[in-house]
Amino acid sequence: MTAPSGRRPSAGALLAVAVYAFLYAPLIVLVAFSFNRARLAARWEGFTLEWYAVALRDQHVLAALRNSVIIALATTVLATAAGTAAALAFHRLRLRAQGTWDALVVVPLVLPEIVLAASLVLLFAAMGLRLGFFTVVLAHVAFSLSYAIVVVRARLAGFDRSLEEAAMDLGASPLRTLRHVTLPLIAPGILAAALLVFSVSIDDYVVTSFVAGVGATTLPLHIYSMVRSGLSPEINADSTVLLTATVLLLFAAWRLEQGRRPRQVAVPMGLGLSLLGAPFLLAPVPLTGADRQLNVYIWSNYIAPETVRRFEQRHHVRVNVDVYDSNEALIAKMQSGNVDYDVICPSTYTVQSLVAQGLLRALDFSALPHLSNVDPRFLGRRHDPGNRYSVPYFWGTTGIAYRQSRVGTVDSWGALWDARFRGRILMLDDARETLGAALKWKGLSVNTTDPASLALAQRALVAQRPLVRAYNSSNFEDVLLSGDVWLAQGWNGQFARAMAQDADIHYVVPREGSMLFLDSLAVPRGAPHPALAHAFLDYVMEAEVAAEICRTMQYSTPNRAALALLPASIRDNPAIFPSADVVARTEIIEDIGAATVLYDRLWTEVKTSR
Amino acid sequence: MGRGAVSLRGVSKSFGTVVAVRDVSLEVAPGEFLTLLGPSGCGKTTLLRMIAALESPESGRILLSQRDVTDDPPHRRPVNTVFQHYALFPHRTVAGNVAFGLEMAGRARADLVPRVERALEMVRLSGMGSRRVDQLSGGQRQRVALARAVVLEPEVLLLDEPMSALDRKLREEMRAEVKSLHRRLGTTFVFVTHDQEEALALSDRVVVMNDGRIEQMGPPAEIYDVPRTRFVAEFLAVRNILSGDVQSAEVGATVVRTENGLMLRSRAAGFVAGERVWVGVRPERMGFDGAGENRVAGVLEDRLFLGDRSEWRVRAGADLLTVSEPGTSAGRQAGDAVTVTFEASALLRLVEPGRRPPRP
Repeated sequence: MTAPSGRRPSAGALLAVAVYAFLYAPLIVLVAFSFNRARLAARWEGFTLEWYAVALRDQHVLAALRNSVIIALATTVLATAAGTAAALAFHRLRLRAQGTWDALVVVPLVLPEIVLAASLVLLFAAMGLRLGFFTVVLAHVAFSLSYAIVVVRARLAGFDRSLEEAAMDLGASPLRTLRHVTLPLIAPGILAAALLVFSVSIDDYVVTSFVAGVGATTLPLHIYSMVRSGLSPEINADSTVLLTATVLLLFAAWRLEQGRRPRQVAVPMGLGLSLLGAPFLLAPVPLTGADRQLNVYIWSNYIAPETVRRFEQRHHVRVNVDVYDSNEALIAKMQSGNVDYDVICPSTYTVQSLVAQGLLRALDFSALPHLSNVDPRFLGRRHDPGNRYSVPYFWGTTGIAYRQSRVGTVDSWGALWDARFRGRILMLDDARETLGAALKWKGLSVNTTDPASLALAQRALVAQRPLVRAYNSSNFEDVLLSGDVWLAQGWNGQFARAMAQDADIHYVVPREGSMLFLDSLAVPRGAPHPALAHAFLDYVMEAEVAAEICRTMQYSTPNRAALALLPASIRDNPAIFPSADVVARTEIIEDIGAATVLYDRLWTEVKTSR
Repeated sequence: MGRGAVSLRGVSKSFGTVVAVRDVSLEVAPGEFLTLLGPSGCGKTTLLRMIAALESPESGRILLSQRDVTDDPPHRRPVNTVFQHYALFPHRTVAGNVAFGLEMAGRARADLVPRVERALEMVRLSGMGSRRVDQLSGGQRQRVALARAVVLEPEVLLLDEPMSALDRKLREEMRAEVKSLHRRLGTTFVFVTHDQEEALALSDRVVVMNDGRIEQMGPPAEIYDVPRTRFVAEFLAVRNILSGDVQSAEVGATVVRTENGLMLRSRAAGFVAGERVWVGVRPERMGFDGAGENRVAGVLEDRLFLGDRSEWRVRAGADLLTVSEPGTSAGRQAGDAVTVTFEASALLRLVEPGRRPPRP
């Protein structure tokens, strides 16, 4: 007997629905939450267009988006043209050992991207190319060329060679045969290749982060860099716009392929292109007539656009702000030796590492009169005695933020090991910070290299693991705000912003002591504009400028003179400016040299323990 | 003038180790309908493609209208081709396909439209110009391919098995159409086919090719009636081919003794007494118990009914003969003893270049 059809969906239909749900659920969530009033992605708090407004105003994100679009378009044109030409050549020349040549085309597709990225950096350095826009485009063409060749070749496989013969027989020269017969017939393949290249280029992170230089920060780089100061739902808005533009262009391309005239697809095509073009209109226009430039390499959201704009006007220069997402990325970029940054923002232990490698330029104090504004507590620390290479920019503490109504008052690292809060604890995803917390709890130094002390700390973290809801260094304050966790280890600046939204949240630097971080500004040895770089360093140490930065970023400024210019709400906030005795209990995380490997191994073992 | 004349002079072509065309020389007269006939792989298509410059010869010269075009690329040769699988441009309409060559020649739009219309009219496709190619039937596509090629008024029209993809009925219709097109245009046609009926029906002259060489050429009737080689005879359905020794070779009265002892008389010229030869007889030149100097006793083995005729296989000693008889040949049945008869004029002398018939 056969089952009556049309009654119950077949297993195949259910499977198909499941597959589509799997494919599209993340996109639907993304679009929906771009309209979510809540700052955190986890909870729906009502409809808003606020994030679109924020995205429209965020000049750094707009500039990054503009860079991404330019790079993706340039890559698409170059890689698709070269890929089509190569595919045609392969198709026509019946080469000896064709299989080998085909395999060589496919190899870059399966090569780990990191390998390609590292080799491209080496190649560019050997060729003497300065890292920048051009190198990003070259790198993107290099890794997307294979995609283009493979896609166009697939289309050519079904191509009837006699059509070209017919064209030539009817009087078309080889060039006109290409234009009037071959290209129109493989156009769908070329279009597919172009779309694929565009999409792999616009969302590439790994290769881009290695080869990007001055003025070439793309949207993915920017988003990754935002984890330092906290991700914002405006990224959802940006992504939704990008998605809409792509869908519109795909729709137009599909209609064209169906044989519609260009005029009939003008509306979706025009809308899609204008969405992609929006960042060109909205992103900051470079100061015209600027004859000099300054290249700043810093975390995202570490400097306000207005601060930069005023410096540009005062010195009549153009400032390029590019962003990185980890100290390690900064070090790698400095080591490559072919990048033109004038000002960088390393953390303490990174300063030590860069000095040890001779990658920083000794500062000229005669050009830094405002250094006198800086609190002496932050000068002459162990990572840079005498501040020969760096001046303090931001500082902050690691501590615990908690929901008082749930856990009462907390003053010890021990709270993070309290079994009552099982599943309600969040730890940073960082070897030095987590081992540091355990070391401090046990009364040890966060810079210890003693294996026995470290083993003790590791055992504590392994024991803690069942209690931990998540290891998260990017939006830990959001998770706390959402109520998913009650206790979170994290940095004070982000917690200060969370506290402004929810009075139930409190921040404490545990009584056992904690970690102090200090991000400094420094000038790379190869900086092309050292005089301007000094001017910039001095500028951000001016009281008004330092106060403005502090107001915007809500991280503690080491600038004594700026304190008087800050509103009481910030100055008296213990989460932003902890008391002197709290600061006295802190330790700066230093470069521990070879022991870094040991820290990383111990941390990996904690995360993979059962 | 010589417009439309084709001269091939010692043309050769090989693909890797496979020789496709071996030192072929051929003259095609202006306005002639010439057919290259042969089995697949005989080199006929390669020869045609060399005239179109879609292949280039390794040696030899090619002249069109008495001009050496050996080194001209395809788009500079005043020839056009009708391809085996039509090769119509799928991204263009019917009219767009026909107009392609005119557009490439830079013809003005005002000139182009009426010419395309006339060409479509010529192949009875008026009013179909705006159709898409994939909406057409096989026969219609074939006509578009014809129109597309003739609209340029080529000096020579090349047709590469243009009807092989059509079914039998359409093929017969198209045959008449091609013939009439040739009559109306007066252009030189070089036509490639493996279908002997098509070749005989259409051509002024047939060139039978085998293994890259010209085996025999001549008017259809001559090729049909007097095949000179064993290959041509077999290809043109001479079914009864036997080897034997020439007993006596008097002009008009040669006697050949076949391998299995039959004594057959022939009026064909060229026999030499004592030589080893192939001889052949068409099935339709044989009959049962009729007149004829050749008489062979045999037994009916089985019958193939072919509509207008029947073909009997007849066992005659060690040989198996094929005899064709008009109608249903009612009244005979397998096992009957018969005498197969045929005229001495029906016995063909066949040679096989490069090989001698087997010794008994």
